[in-house]
Amino acid sequence: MSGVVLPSPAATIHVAGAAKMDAEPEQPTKNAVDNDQSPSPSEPDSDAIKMFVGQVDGSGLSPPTTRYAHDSFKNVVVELEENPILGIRTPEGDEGLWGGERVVKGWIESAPYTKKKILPRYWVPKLFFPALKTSVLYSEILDKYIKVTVTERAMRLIDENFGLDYYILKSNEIDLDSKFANSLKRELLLTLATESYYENDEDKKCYIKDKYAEFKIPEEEAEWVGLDLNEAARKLQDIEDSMPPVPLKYSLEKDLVERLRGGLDEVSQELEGPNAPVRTESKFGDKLFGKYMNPIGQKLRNATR
Amino acid sequence: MLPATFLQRLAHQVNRQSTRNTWVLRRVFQPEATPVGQIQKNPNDFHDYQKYEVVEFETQKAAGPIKVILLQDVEGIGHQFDVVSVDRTLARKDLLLSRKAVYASPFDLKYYADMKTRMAEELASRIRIPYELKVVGRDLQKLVVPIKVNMENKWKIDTKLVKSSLRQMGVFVKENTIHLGPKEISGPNFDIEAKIFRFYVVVNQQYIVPMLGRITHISVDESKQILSPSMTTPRDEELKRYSIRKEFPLFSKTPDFAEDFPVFEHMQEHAPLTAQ
Repeated sequence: MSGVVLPSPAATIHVAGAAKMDAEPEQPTKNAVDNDQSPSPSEPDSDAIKMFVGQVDGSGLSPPTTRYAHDSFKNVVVELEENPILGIRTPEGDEGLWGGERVVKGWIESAPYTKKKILPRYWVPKLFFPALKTSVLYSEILDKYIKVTVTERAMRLIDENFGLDYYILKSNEIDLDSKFANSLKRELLLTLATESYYENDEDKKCYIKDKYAEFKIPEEEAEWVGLDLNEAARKLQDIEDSMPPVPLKYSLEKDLVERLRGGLDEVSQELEGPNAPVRTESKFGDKLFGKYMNPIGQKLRNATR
Repeated sequence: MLPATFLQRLAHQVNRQSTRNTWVLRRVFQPEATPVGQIQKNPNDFHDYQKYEVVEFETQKAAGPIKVILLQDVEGIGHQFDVVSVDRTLARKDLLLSRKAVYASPFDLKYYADMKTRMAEELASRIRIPYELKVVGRDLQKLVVPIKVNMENKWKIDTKLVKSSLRQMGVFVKENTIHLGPKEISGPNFDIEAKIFRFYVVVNQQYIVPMLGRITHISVDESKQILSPSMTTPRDEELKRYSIRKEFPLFSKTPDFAEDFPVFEHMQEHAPLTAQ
């Protein structure tokens, strides 16, 4: 019975983790493929709050690398599933940099209150909170100091990515999992797009331009990054409202006049040219009622001569 | 009905929830596999699937040191453009925020390595005092050494007397590293009681540290004791009163200041009046 050994049923979660930047793309899961459902956009699609059926390794999580595995004990092929531990998104989390951490609501086993040989298991409600602290961070692009609530996880991710700017720009919006982080990302991208940094220091300007060249995108694109659905809809509505509606007849009329002036109007050319179509009377009525109508018509024509 | 003890325990448990940490959790009961053709159930719909056990507190693991590139000379850490591993807290709270250092990112490593090669001559010409010497110099300059002299027998201030006075202060130096002024001070003379005078100590034949001594008359006879002034560092006005200027240590790249070197005369001319 060779084959892939089924991972142990232990599954772990970083309540506070965030996705590794260089992680391989995940295999399609049963949830997404069989039922034609994509993961909810409001839930971060990252190691941060996903729990996988898999072995606990040093990093904390090991998502299933394959869709199917062979259970050597039962001698059957089983389908591996993702069962995420879903965290609660908090307003405070939107105001800070939590590095993908969330509050998790669950139950833990209580200390037994009776001394018996076989003890019943009592479960008590528990909220698992991330470790929060206030920290000052420096943004090189904006040249500003930012006082913000962070977690140790976020600080370590900032260190891993060599600074706040790199962390914000490299991370996916879903992995940032924070309104503040997304708006900061938008601001950074807009600043890079417009090159409105270090106006008085040419050396520093060149340094920033070279350092963050890979993240530069057009301003029109950068304006839409990091907006939530309401903001994006409002922005689109504002853009549409700012352009007054022009009736089509004006534009079509203008177009026709231009075509006529330039001699590009095919219809008018056809009517005036030597190869213009010859007008012929319809034979439709002739075919249907010619037998009866033609003699009458002939009489009428003769009478009017 | 639940017993009161259980409810009390539950209340304690709920109160303890305010502790915040980065948790790594594991489900106690694994969700069952979804039958073929059916939609996967939301694990949060069942209490059993919300029962967790803690695998570890990630926050309690030390993150270790962090690599940074220094943008200026930082005492006790390194010189400009050095790539050093420093304590994470120090880097986050001081070096990175005050722009004394940047993260050692691949781009910055290349950028500042190029800058270092461009500025090689300028960096080589800079006077860089070793951190150990700076610390020793700073500690010695804080001292005002009480030079204890006899109020009955004749005495003359020499290197041996200064050496023993320094030893009483916990500073151990060789006699040949102490350099006194050309003007001889002798006694007993109560006019010069508590007078401050300048002398120099040479460290490693490279670093001349200006120091202050204060004459203090003492006696074996307890009835003749003089109340000595406190040994605090004198203010600038007090130094002016004794015609002493404020000086800072002088460093030489090569060990020039040997025994026979005229340290006192040299410092009269070349003593730095600001910190090097």
